[in-house]
Amino acid sequence: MNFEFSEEQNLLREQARGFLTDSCSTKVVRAILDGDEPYDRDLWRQIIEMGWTATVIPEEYDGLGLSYLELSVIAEELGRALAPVPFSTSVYLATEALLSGGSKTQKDDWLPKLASGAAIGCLALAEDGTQAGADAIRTSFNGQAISGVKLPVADGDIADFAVVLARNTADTVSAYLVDLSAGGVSRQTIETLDPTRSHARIEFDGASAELLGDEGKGWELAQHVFDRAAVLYAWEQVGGADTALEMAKEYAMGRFAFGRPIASYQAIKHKLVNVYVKNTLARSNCYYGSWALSVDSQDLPVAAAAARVAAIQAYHFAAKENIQTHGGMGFTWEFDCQLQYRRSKLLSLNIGSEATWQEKLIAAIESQRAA
Amino acid sequence: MSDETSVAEEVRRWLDANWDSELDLVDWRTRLAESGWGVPSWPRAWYGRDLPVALAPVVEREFAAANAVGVAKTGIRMLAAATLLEHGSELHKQTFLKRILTGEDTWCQLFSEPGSGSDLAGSTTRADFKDDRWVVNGQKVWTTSAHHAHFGLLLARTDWSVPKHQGLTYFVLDMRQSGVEVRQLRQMNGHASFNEVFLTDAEVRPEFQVGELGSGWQVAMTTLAHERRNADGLRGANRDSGLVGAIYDEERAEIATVMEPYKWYPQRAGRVDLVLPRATATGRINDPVVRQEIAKLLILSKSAEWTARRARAAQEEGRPQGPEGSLGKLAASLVARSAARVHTLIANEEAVLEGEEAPLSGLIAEILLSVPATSIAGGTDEIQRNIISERVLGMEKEPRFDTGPFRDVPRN
Repeated sequence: MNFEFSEEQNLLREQARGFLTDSCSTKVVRAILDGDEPYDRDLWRQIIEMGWTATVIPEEYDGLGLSYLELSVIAEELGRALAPVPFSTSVYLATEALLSGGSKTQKDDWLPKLASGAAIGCLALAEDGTQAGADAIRTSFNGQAISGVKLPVADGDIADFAVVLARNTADTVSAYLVDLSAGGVSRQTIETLDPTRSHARIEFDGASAELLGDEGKGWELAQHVFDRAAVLYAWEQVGGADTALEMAKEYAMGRFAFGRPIASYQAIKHKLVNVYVKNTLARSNCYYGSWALSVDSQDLPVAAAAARVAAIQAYHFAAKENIQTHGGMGFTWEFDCQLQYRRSKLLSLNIGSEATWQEKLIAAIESQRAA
Repeated sequence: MSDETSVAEEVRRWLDANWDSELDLVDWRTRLAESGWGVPSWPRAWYGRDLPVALAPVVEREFAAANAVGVAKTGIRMLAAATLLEHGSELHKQTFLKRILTGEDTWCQLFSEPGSGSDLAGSTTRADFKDDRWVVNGQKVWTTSAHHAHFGLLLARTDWSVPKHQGLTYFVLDMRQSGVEVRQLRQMNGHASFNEVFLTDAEVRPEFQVGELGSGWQVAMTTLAHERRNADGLRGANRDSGLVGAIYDEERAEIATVMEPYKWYPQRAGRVDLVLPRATATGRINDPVVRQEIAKLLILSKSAEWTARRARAAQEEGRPQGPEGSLGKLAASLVARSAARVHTLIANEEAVLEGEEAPLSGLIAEILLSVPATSIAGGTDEIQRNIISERVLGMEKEPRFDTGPFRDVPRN
């Protein structure tokens, strides 16, 4: 296995970083934080034009057919830039759900649209703000249509379709594809602690739906998608964590107290090294996760959980310590520290919390040991 | 034919003609040292063959295949050899190198002092030139193998009027003299793996000064760089070949002596390997809190493992060695502390039990009493953080108060 990206992949990174530096400054992120737009449409259009939404979609569905290593590079850069776009939801979740569970027809219908950006997809799992498990799914499918409330749904307000987990008449949970522009769907943007990534409450009232994947296997499909998405979310988190560390370092080197830069105090140096260590350890897990993802390794559930937990811890720690290093200024609206902090919290809870993934890791290791 | 294949063939031919398991260990190693195959990456003039380091594993594989015993490589002796090869005089090389390789001489490193651990350049052991020789007075500590060493690599202060790094000189000290007293140092976990060395008018002849007067710090850096690269040969020295014969018994005894101080090192690292088996055996694996803590530990431990593997991969590809050493040390500290905590959580009150009746004969208690060493030995966590913050993150150093003549510097 590789522990570094290839030359081509690093070239992609350079391009991505250059593009996002120009097109996704924190000014762009702040415009979404302060305004009413759910995402930055112009940035999203440019991302689509560069083909990023098509990265891992096979060529037969108009995708680029590249590997998860390329997607990992893009994920890290989007995370660094705090890009206010529905990329993670549409690419890591909806696209993966179709790739994993979609019939030929469903793939034909949706994958080219996802690749070209003609459609945005989302995943509607949580209800009442929790992802407590298959038993907690109350949204129901009566054989033709879906009814129930999903909350929160990342990008549910702007998506064209949703993969919805619902309870069928046999009292098992399946995944369904729902066209969100059709009847029986009402949705509202909800307020969250990170308005730079939009979330919605979706109410289904007899919305027509078709089965995605095997009957009664919706929860398993979602877990499989989460295992894959976890690695990509982790890359976004590691990217954000590195940005937070750089911000803290730059500030400490330019801020004077008691006659010298605060960066010369061990209290600050050691704090930032602790951030650096967590970031680097998380990054190592991400490399392993990307490798496991790119070769469909049996070890993916363990690798994904390790990457996810390490990245949750690293990003949240980095965002917190970035504020602390900035002192009072870090707590103001004006400074950008809050952007990292908000995003680190949000990403630590999207697709399951630290505790959830720690339990998944132990369960996966137990089943490996039993085998 | 590739270099690898031709080297392998050459070693094989030489071993066919020369390897003899009936030989006495020193006789065999003398023959081996003279052939250059014992340390092929050393210079031809000094028991080597000028082979690139990358080819050394090829030679080792052939030795293993032939069950041939190699030169003595464990312990401080290899750090001594590396330092002398770089900074030693002809006399030093002639006097010491061959006996290092044959295992006839054992070495120790006399750097750390009770008053200067992290601040190694603050050594106060003094060497004064009187009549025709250096006279050494002071105390060294954490000296592995001092009780059976023949020679010591000594860092001592020869000039108190200059800044501290400039006043040190490096010597080879004969440990078998009346001015050298070695005492075992008992650690908090009950083991005594190191020594204190008291130097009272110990003598060094001028020709056993290594490098220039006042250049001791630079010479010591060479020794420490090799130590950080794990050139002390401890990695992998544990293997028991199970081979039968007097020469193998001699080699095993030598390795056992060197390894004896390190027998608690696995416990020092936290024994992550025991966590799942213990949790399963005790049924504690079913406690959701314990599960969460175990998961955190295993993820941390995997993170450290993948980070180390990345560093090794980078090294193998010839990329320059970065701050991985310091990072790896910090990661190891986190793992050890976290492991001790999780072992406690799993064992509950049983964790305090020692002796044969205790779970794993008191191994859990030994883990708890050993892990504090991990974040201190070989450079404290705080020093590692300074290194990373300054060399990787580019942050400024703390202001310092030891840049003038050493005699005026406040010290212990």
